[in-house]
Amino acid sequence: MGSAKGTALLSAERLSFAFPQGAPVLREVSLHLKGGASVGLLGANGAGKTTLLGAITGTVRGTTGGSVRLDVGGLHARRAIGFATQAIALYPVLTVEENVGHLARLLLGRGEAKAAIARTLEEFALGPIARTRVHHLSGGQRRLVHLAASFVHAPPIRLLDEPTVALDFEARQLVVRRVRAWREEGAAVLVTAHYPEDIEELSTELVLLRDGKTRDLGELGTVLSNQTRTLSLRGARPDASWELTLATSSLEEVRSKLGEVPSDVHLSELRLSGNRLRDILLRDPSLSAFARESEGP
Amino acid sequence: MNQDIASSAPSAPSGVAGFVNEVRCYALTEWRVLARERTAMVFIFILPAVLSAILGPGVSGLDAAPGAMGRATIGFAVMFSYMVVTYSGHAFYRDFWYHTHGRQALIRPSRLAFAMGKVLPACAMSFVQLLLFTGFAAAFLGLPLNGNVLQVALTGAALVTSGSALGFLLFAITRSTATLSNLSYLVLVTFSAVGGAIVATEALPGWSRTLGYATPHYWALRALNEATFGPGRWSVVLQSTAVILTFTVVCATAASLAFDFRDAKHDTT
Repeated sequence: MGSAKGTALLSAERLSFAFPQGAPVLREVSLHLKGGASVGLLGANGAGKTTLLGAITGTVRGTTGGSVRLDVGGLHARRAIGFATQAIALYPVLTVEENVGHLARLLLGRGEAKAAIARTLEEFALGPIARTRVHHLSGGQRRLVHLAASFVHAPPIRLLDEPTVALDFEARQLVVRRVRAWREEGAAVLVTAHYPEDIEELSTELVLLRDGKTRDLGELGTVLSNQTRTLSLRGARPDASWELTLATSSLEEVRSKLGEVPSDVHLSELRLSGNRLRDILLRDPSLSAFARESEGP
Repeated sequence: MNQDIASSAPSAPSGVAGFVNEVRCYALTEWRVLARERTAMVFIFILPAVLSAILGPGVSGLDAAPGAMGRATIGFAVMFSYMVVTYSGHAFYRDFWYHTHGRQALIRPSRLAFAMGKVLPACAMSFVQLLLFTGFAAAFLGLPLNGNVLQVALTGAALVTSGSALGFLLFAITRSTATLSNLSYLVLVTFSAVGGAIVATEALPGWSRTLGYATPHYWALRALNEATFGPGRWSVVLQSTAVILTFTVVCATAASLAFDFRDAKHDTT
């Protein structure tokens, strides 16, 4: 499927929200979800990430302000948006196929549902458990079924709230591949996750939510390129460890930086004096350190 | 905009076809859940049968009357058909138990289609129960059928629809399943008692009889008595079902006004 990427399919402008009799959670938040891009929403616990998704989709009750505009060729919101909530939303006594099928028939009609169910079960590798009742599945399997059901109607806008919770490595990689495929198909994706590593794998752009306001951080690559690499030397003794900041991690720079380590524990001496150096680690820029700095007090 | 992905997305049915599709989707899912959880079968079918067998006409004070066992059986059938209140309410609460309520809030189906689909399976079960028990009483317990089956069916349909509407209303105005269940059992017992489903109306104190006029049970039993022991006049049956349907419309309208797809429910266990 080709796509005309880059245009905002969903634009939230000056969006405000407060729960009934509650303090404002969102204060004039603006957010743009472009086709072919995936926005990672960073924010500490309680920052309002889930509420923002609820306010965008109109699924939470409270006082709202601002606007949410869709540019999806006249598609109704129910067809244009798929929302995988943080809580797994499935009927436990129904099978995987019945859960996915319920939403497929509801959103697409019987005529289109059959093909959509088959495609979705294949995409999420759910074929072998299609006829298993959900209450017999593991937490990770339920999460995959939940994601499959949420997007069975192939919506152009896909919102994922903590999609990697309870997933093992293989299932997590499957979700990463799906999100990348959706981007390539031209879908606009918004994702929140507990761990920056997940955001890093699932997103192309970053938005920080803090104190009820968003800050557009730009493209993930740009954010990461502004971060520094670190060279970590860990000795056997707790007092014999050093963390050196590198700008480029070229060999010359590494050599130069090693000169900062006191000469009595120089790398060559450590090697010669018998396993006193436990490990040397070169860490690439990551979102974890950035998130720690950004979400801090 | 991204024409490819948007235009490649198939369209959902709209208009009457969309309405029918929504009713069918919700009803099919509810039916599957009810059939697999089975407790509804116990309350709607087995409990009235057991109570009829144990208590029989003795509790209704009719043991000397002809066809008394059949009359008592219908009373218990009417009483437990109102378990439809509980199961209709649970059908709506189910979305909060399983966190699927957010989906309904996003999808925003037609309120009428959503409500109809949700309550249809429980309604159908209660309706079938009423027909089965009346048929059994007519065939084996000496219950006369001076009117016709259509009168019984019309009355039964009106009664279970009123119960579903009341279940919807109780869901809309409560915050937890426990509150809904308590209220629906209260309704089940008091409506049955003052409506003449447990003890025949003529044996009730005057004030109870007066209260009974406000319950669908009284009017349902009036119509069923007309179709069975009575001469089977349509005027009596239609008048009774009209009263029940008025009760239904009032409950459904109030529920519809109080209901919001975005509502949050607490203590949903």
